[in-house]
Amino acid sequence: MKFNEHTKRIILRVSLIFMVLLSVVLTGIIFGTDAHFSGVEQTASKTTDKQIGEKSLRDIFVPTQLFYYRNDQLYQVYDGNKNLPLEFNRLTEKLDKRNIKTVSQDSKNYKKMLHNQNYLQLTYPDQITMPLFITGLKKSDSREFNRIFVSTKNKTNLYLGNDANQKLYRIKIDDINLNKFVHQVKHASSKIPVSLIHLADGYSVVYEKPTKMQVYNYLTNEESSSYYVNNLLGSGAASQKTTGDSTVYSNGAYQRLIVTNKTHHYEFVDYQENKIPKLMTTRLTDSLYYVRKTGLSEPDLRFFDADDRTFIYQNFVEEYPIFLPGNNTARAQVDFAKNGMSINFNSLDFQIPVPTDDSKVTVESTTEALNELYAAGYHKKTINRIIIGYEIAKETEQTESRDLVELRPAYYAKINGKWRSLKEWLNLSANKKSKYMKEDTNGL
Amino acid sequence: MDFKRIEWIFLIVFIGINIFLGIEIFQTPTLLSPPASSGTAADLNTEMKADNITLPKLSSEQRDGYYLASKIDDDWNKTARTQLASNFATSFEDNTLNVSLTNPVKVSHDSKKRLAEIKSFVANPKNVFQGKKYHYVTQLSNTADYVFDQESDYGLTYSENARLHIQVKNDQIVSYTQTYIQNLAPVRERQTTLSAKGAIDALYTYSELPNNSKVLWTKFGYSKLIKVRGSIIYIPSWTIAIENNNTKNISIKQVNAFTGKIIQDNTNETENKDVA
Repeated sequence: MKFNEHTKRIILRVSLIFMVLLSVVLTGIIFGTDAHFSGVEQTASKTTDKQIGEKSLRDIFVPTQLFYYRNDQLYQVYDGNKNLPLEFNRLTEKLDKRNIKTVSQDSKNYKKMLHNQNYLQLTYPDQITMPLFITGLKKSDSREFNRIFVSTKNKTNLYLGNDANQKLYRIKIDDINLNKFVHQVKHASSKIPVSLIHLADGYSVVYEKPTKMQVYNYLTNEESSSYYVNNLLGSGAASQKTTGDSTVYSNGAYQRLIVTNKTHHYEFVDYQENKIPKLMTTRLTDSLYYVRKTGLSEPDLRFFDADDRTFIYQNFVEEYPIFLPGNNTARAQVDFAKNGMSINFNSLDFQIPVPTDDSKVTVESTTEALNELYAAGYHKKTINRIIIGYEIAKETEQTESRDLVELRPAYYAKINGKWRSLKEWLNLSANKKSKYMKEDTNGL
Repeated sequence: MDFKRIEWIFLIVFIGINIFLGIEIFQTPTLLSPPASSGTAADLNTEMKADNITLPKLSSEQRDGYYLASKIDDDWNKTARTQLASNFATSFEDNTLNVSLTNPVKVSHDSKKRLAEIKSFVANPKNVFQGKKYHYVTQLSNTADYVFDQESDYGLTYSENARLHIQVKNDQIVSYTQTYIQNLAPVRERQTTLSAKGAIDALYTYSELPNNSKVLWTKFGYSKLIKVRGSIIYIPSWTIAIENNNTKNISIKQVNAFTGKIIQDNTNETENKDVA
């Protein structure tokens, strides 16, 4: 009996100690998981949810121009039937985790590579990061490049170059056969003789002689503002306020969509998105996520330009970006800031290409265009880039919802971080101009 | 004795606390697990299953295509009529060449042999203008009407504007109708398009895939988008046949393979209708 009493006591004490310990452990788990939970919630809204859709990243972050040497002359090559950059993109799709070796950081070597006649070159409109080209790399790999060198002879290596810091990288590609691609480039249907000039942001293409370029026609289309309100603010009732030409839709205190009725321009601001992603790759992919969230039609949408916190996507017609009229020339521009993220976009969609009566127009040489800029007082050091883009030349009313527009080529220059057409830069008032003549100190 | 009672009370209290904590932990795991779906595609698949939509095996490989244009021009019918056998009675109306055979061509009763015979009939330029360019389409054909679609330099078409209907009666080819697209040329460069899977997902997202139905087949080809400035614009499209499980009715839907939008009924040929 006594023994039983003693055993009972021991059992009681042991179970009490066990229960105390168990409660400590359980409390620990709950505290631990609480922290975990809040972490999960954060990542869920930041990254896991950012679906990019069927069109892969590589369809948006795509090289747009292609160059190769023939008899000491560099040519810009184009073949619409084959779409060679697309072909290259397909061939290199399976490029996964591989060693990227830095082979040179020297500007002389970079120049040599640019003039090496044994390499053809593909260029992106602006620098992208390695993980957007090679799958399976860590997002933290922030090495950037904008030029791909494909050897026409030894095809086991691919060189990636960054015009901005003149670094050259090498990757092995012995598992990819580029023979057919190189052959197609050499036999492409259109070749324009060009050279390269070094400006503030890297190398720009110089059309040395006046060049004949195609005029394009498009039927445009426009989604109604309710489409964008629905995509960005949700289907819940958003409050609405119209003042003059613009209507402001807001969803609580954090999200706002401003619609300027005449210009098809929209500005969406989300004050909750106030963390600027730390990694460049994340900023690039997140910016695309937001652009896709707007619901803009995508077939011709490409990555166009990236600065530290500003990311621009443009519609492209063949190899050239289309600039929209007015102050906001971008189809979509995402700005990350500490007080909120904003997207400026335009609902004008160049929807259906229409045959042109084969008309071509002549564009002056780039040297001439640059000389005009210098003569107007702009300094070479402040000119980031100069390119040929397309702009709306004529708008013919067809129906209420759809216009037929004509797109014509024109020079566009980025000066101290701002894109404008050559004409606009030349016509800028002296007061405004002075702002762009000095070198920018904000590191644009 | 008192100490023992206190021990008992503590034990009971701690059991209670542990049960409470246990329930807390048991409830949180659903919140803890990171969002299960790493892709919306996976979600759509399960949603479609829940809606009792049966799908065939679908490729998720992207394709490519062009915006193509052809000038509206019926010149081809004159060339065609001079090339065809003299004993064919022809008429041309609505851009369609109607041909009836004064001496019908006998074909086999056996379906396999018959198809081979019809194919060789079509391939003969004396019988059908540019017949070699036309490819048999099982999905649209039946024993009285054999349908062929025109192959262009840029891929197969799927359009009433580029189609051959061979009419068979009592094991004889009696007549046919033909439409033909000439001078098809790209207006813009080659671009990637949606995969078959992507097209089905788009159809489902736009609520065009009814519950309790079965996708019978998907077909990739150029379809008419719009008529503009004397040309017809063609785009790559996915044509999808859907069978309603209850009524067994089959409906045909088309998805713009560039944008994923639904192409509205193409039979209404007004110039300014809203298109995908």
